Amino acid sequence: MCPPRPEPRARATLQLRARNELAEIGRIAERVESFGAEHGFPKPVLHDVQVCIDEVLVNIFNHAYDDSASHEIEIRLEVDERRVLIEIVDDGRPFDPLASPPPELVAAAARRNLGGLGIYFIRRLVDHIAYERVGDTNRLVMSKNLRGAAPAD
Amino acid sequence: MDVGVEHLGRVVRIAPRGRIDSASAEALGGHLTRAIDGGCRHLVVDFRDVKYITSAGFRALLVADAGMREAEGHLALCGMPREVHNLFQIGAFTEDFLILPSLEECLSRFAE
Repeated sequence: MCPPRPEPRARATLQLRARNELAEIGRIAERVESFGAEHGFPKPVLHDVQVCIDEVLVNIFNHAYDDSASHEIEIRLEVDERRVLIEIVDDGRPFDPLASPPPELVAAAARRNLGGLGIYFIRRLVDHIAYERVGDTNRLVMSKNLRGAAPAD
Repeated sequence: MDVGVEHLGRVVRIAPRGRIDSASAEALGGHLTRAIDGGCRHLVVDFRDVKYITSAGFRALLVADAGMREAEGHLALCGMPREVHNLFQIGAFTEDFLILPSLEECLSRFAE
């Protein structure tokens, strides 16, 4: 059932489904954390992947749906020797998060409009990101390199 | 996330443990607001046991910072893991907040 301890790293995937409610955030974070630990994600990589997944999910919760119905969001992680791929698919209205304007980073904090901060974090934390509309779904794919990750300073 | 609250003389140390994420940021904000409303004017948020903070957490911190400025008090952040500090840099928050390496340095700063 469990893949052998990857050395060299075998390709492994994790597939999750989340409902569009805040209570899901913690459950998903714990699954991702376990997966990262099991497959030896470097600490900064696991950190950045977790921040990105939170920001994408809450963005979907807040902006994707016109109704108040329950929706399912698919989250897929794939890791190999080089990088972690994160794919998130929702059935909300067409929404390209990469088209949102960047947040104000110059105004004094107390007066800042922080809209767009989450998306800005994502763009800065991953090495590659792409959005596409596929049928009735939004598909966001992010890639984070395991080595040569943006240094944390 | 759970939150430790510790009174150290006139300083209140708030120590969130775990994830300050979209689901838990509001609870952290509640702790900070209660401390300020309760009369605390020297508040420390200790990030020592924080795994990560997302944009929702930054919003809670900015609300607390504004509240503390209005109350003419002082807010300091400390104990930040490297990855957490990286997000403060990306978001250009390092000038907005007083960020110190350790709780001890916050206490000596606030003793002045």
